[in-house]
Amino acid sequence: MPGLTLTIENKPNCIIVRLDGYLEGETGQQLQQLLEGLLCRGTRGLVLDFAKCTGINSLGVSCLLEIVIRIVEDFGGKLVLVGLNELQRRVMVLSGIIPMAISAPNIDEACRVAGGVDGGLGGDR
Amino acid sequence: MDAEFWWRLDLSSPIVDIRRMAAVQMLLEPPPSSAAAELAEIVAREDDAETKAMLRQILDGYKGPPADARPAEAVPTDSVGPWAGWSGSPAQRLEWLGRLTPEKRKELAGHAPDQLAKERHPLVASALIRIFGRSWPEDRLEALLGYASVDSPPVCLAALETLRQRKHELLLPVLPGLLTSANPRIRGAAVRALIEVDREEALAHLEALLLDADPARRLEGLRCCFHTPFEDVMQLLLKAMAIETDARRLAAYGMLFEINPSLEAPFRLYELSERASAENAEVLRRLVAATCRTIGNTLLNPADFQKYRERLQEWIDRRAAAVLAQDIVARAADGRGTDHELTEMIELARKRPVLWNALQELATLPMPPAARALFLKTVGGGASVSVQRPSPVRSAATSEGPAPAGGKTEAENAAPIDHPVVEKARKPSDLLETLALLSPDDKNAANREIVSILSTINESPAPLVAAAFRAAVRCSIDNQAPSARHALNGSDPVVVSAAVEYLGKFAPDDIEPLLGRFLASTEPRIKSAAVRVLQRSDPLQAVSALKTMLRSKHIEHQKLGIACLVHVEFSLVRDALAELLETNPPGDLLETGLCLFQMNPDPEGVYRLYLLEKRLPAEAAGNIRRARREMMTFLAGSGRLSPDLGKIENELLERAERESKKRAAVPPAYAFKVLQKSLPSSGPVRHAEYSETARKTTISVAVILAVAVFAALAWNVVTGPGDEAASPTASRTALPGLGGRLQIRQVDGWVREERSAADEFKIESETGEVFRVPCRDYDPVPALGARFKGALILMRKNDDGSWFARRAAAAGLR
Repeated sequence: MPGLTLTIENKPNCIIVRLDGYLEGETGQQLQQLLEGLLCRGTRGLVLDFAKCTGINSLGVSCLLEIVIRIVEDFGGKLVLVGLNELQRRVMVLSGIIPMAISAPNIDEACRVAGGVDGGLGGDR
Repeated sequence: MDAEFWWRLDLSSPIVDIRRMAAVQMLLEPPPSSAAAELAEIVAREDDAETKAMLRQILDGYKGPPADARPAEAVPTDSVGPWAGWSGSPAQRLEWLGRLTPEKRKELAGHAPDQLAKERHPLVASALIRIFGRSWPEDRLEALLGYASVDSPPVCLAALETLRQRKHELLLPVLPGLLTSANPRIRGAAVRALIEVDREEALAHLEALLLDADPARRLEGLRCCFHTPFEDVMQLLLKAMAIETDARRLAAYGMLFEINPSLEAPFRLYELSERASAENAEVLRRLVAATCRTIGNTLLNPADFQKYRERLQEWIDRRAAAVLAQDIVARAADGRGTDHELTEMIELARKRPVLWNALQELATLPMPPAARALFLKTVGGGASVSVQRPSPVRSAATSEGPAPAGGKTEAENAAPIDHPVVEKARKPSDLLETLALLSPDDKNAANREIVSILSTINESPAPLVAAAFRAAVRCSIDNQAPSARHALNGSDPVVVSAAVEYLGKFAPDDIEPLLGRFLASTEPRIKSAAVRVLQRSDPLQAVSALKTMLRSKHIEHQKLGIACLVHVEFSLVRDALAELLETNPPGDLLETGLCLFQMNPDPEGVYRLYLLEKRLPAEAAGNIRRARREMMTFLAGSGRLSPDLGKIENELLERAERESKKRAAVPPAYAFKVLQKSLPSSGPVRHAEYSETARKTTISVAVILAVAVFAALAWNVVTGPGDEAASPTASRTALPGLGGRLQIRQVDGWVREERSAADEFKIESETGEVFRVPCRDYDPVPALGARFKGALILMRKNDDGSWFARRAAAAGLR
C-alpha cells in the first residue's frame, strides 16, 4: 500500500498542505499531528490539496473528520479542500466533512476562502 | 412578510425538518410574547414531538418570571472577570462562545462545568460542552454523564461525544439507554462510543442500524462505518445493500467499497447484483468495476492484477453456474421441473466452458433425490438437451422442442384449445414453445400471441395462460393487468403464481396488499412467486417472511421456506438456515440446506458449517465436514481464504471457543441480545397488515425523508447519494409526492446579485453552486454580498448550471 507524503507551503493568509499518496488510518494520524502543530502555532486558515492524493479509505475519512472538527470547532479556523476528485468529494459530503470544510475549485479560490474573505450575515433568518 | 413573524411560514410547512429548524432558531431568538397565543395554537396541532417540545419550551418562557430571572435565560452571575461578556440572549451567549480564542478557551475551561450547571438553554449548553470538551477538567468529566442522558439531542450528543473522546468507560451505565434511543443520531453516536468499549457488540448494534427499515437509521449506520476498519463492516454493508431498494442509497454504500480496497469486495458485489433489480444491478456492476480499479491502483502490481481479474472472471462464470444450479434445485422443490426456459438457459450455459464444467461439478453435490433427478435430466450424463431456436412467431410449429423426460409436456396434459383465437392447427406444445422462446426483442409478436391467449383466459389451458404471463413479463408487455387480477382468483397454482409475478412487475400496487395471502399459500409455486415479488419491493420483509417459515414447527413449512431461500441474499438468511439445520432435520432438508451453503461459498458460511458439524450426529457431521472442506478449498483457490487450511481450522476452533465462552457468561447490559427487544420499532410489518401499510406509504415516506433531512441538516450532509449527491452543498431529499425529484437543500453562501431582470436574486454557495431565487420569497431580499443561510427547494436546473430554487417554506409546500 503506498504511503503519504505531506508538503507544506506558506501563503500570506493561510498554509497549504499537499497530500501525495494514500490517506488511510495511519497516514491520517500523521496528517492530524502535522495540522495540530500548525494550529498550535497560530495557523487558522488551512488548505488541503488532494490533487495528488491517490485514495482515501474509511479510516482516512474518519481522521479527516476529527481534523475538521478540531480546526473549525475548537480553533475557530477554516479548512478548505481543493483538488478533490468526484469520488473523494462525494465521500466528504456523505461523511459530513463538507460543508464543515469548504470545497474550492482551485488553489487561488481556496486560499482566498481560507484567508478569511467572507461576507456579513444575511439570508434566511 | 412581517420580519418578527417569519416563523409562521416555516412552522406551517409540511416538512418536519423545516419546522424543527424554525423551532431551533426560535429557541435562540424567541418571538415577542404577543405571539404566545398563536404559538400555542401551532403547538396544539404540531405532531412532531421534537418540534413540539421546543415550542413548548418557548411558551413556558412566556409564562414564567421575567426573562432575566429565569433559569432558562440565566445570565451568568460572573459578569466580571474572564466570563465578562457572557451575558444577554442565548444567541448573544453563543456568539460570545464562538469568538473565544483557543487560548481563552483553555483559560476558561476550568469554569465551564460551573457555567454549564447554571445554563438551561439546550443549544447554549451543547455549545459549552463542545467548545470546552477537550479541555474539560478531568475530575469533572463524570458530571457530563447526566447530560448524556437528557432529552435534548444537542446536549446529549455533545456530552456523549466528549465522553467518548475523553473517558469512554464512564459511558457504560448510560450506553443501554442511548443504544435504544429513538433518535438515530444518538443511537449512531452510542454505537461509535461502544466501538471503544466492545467492538463485537458494537458491530451487532451497527448491523441492526444498517438493517433497520427506517432509511434515517440506515444512514446513521452508514456514517458509523466510516469510523470502523472496513474489514469489520464490509459484511454488514453487503447485507444492508442486499435489502436496499433505492439505487441512490445503494451507491452511497458503494462509496465505502470504492475507497477501501478489498480483494473480496468485487466478488461479493457481483453476487449482490445477481438478485438486484435492473437499476440496482447496474449500480452494483459499476461498483464491481470501480472496486477493481481501486484494487489495481493500490493493492496489486499490474501482473498480479491481471491474474486477479482472470480469477474474478472465472469466478463469475462459476457463480452463474451456481445460480443456475440453485434454480434447478428450486424447480425440483417447488414442482416446476423442466421447461423451455430452463432448456434455453442450459443451452446457453453449454456454450461457456467454465460455466458448463462448473455446472457439472455442482451436479455431484449432495442434494435431494428430486433435485438430483432434475440435474441429471438437464445437465448430467451427457443427456442431450439441445434445442433449435425457432422463429418466435408462427413458425414455431415447425420446431422440435425438447422432450421432457416425464413424458407428456404440461400443455399436452392440458385441455384441448377450442376457442377461435388460437388456431386449431397449432398444437398446445407448439404454442408453449413459441411463448417460451419469445425474447424482449420480439415485443410486437409477443403482444399478438399473449393478447390472443389472455383475451380468452377462461377458455385457454392453464399452462398456456401461465406461459403467456411469463412471456409478458419477459417481453415487457404491460397491458395485461386486468387479466392477471382475474387469474389470481383461479385454482391452478401455475397460473396464480405467474399472475402474481406479472402484477409484481407491472402493477405492484394491485398485488402488494394481497401478498400476505400468497405468502401463506401451501402451494410451493405460489409461495415462491410471492417471495420473489416481495424481495423486489421490500427485501427486508421477504427475509423476515422466510425466517418465519424456517422457524416454523411444521416440516412442510420449513421445506417451503428452504425452497424459497434462493430468492434472497443468502447471508441474510444463513443464520436462520443454520439454526434449522442444527435441529438435525430429515435427510432431504439437511441436504437441501447444505446444498444452499455450498452454492453460496463465503468465509462466514465456512464458520457456520463448522459449528453445525460440532452439533450434529456423526453421519450428518461427516457430510457437513466434506462440504465445508470443499468450500474452504474453493475459497482458497479464488483468493478469498488463506491457502493455509490448517491455520483456518485453528481459527475456526478459537472463534467457536470464544463465542461459546461469551454465550455462557452473563451478557453486559449494553449487549445487543439484551437490548434487542427495546430497540425502536421500525422493523417489517406483518403481511396481514400489508394493505394498511400500503395506504400509509405516502405519509410515512414523507416522514422518513423528513427525518433523514433533519439528520442530514444537523450533519450538513447529503442524504441521497448519486450524481446529485455529488453536489457539495448541504442537505437535500426527494419528495415523491411532489413530482418525485424535488429536493430540499440547506444552502450556505453569499448573495451575488440582488435583483435580476427576472426578479430573482442570485446566491453562490460556499462550494460554488449557484441558486436563483424569486425575490418574492424573501422580504426583504437579502442585500448584495450578504451571507445567506437558508433551506431552498430546487425546482429545476438552468442551462447555465445554476438552480432555480424557491424558499422551502414558500414553495407551495404549506
